[in-house]
Amino acid sequence: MKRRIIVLLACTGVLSQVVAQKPIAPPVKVAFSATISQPRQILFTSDANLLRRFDKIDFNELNGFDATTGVFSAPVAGVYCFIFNISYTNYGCSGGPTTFNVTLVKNNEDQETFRLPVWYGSGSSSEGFTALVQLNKGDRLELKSLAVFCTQSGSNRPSVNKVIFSGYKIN
Amino acid sequence: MHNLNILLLAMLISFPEFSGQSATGIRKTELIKQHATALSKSTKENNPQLQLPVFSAIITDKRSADNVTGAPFFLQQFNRVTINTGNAFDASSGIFTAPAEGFYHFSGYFLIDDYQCWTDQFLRNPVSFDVTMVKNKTNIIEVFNFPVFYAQTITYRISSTGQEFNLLLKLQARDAIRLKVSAKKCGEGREPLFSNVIFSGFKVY
Repeated sequence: MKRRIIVLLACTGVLSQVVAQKPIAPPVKVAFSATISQPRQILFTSDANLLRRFDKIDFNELNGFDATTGVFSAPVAGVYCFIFNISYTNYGCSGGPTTFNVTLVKNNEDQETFRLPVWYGSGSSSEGFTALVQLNKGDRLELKSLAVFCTQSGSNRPSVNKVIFSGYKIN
Repeated sequence: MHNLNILLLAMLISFPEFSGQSATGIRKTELIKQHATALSKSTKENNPQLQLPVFSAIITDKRSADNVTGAPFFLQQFNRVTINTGNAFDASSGIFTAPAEGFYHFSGYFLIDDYQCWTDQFLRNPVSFDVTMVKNKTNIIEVFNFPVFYAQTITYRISSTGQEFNLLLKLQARDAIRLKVSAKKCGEGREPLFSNVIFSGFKVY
């Protein structure tokens, strides 16, 4: 009798799951991708202005990204994946790479700094990172850069050639 | 007892992870498929997450990115496809075909030999390992110029360095995505060899 009750209870649980299997609401789509397509000079200092004024927006679902300020404001709460791609001239030192630091800033607080290597020579290199960040609705996420000075810089003028900043909500 | 069997069967259908399979690698893909087939068609239609394509393909042999002509060429003949939910990736042609309009996250990883030369050429004509993402045969989405490291001398064993990219794209149904590579050797015996390529992607929405 006891086992029957347990089975009945368990079955009821399974049945209630089956009955309660309503259509799952489609996910709220939050995704953006913006580009800085024109070369910009790199200043050897902390620069909050370099990674702003994006000149091209590929898509901006729910309009979370502001191209002028470079700030993403979360339209809904969730875990977000951010993708950062950059191409800059090889202005590094001959003895080894220097770094171009990009910091993720959430609500004016530094979260994580990515030290991207800068190589020596001519031409340019592509670097980047991805990061997962938990955001509440209205949280602001932006980027700031810090280029490390190198006295033995190559012949090229230190500049950012292109930046792509993208992000999407995971869940 | 009969009721208990039905109960266990129902639990296995509802929760395939109870079947004791490990949730790693290809097994994970099988789990997703099992879960999908266990649900009714109407439920699948109402839950787009179950239909999202995911792929990951690898190249395990060493190849040269210099095909003599100097022109970029398509990355084909992937050695193994570890995940291909939705069968959107073709290993032979290296083409991912978007099954539906949406946002897609692509990743590429390349293990590149440190074949750079330390010459005057290095400063004037830099050597980079270029990976181009191409949409629909000719439309260049992005070019990644991966830096190539300097190897002390070819008498030492040349080491390798990993480089990767990530890209978020909005695609239309039937858009075809693939990769091209190109690089020039910087001297005799310094071929732009690469190995352990991983090309992967998934539909976000």
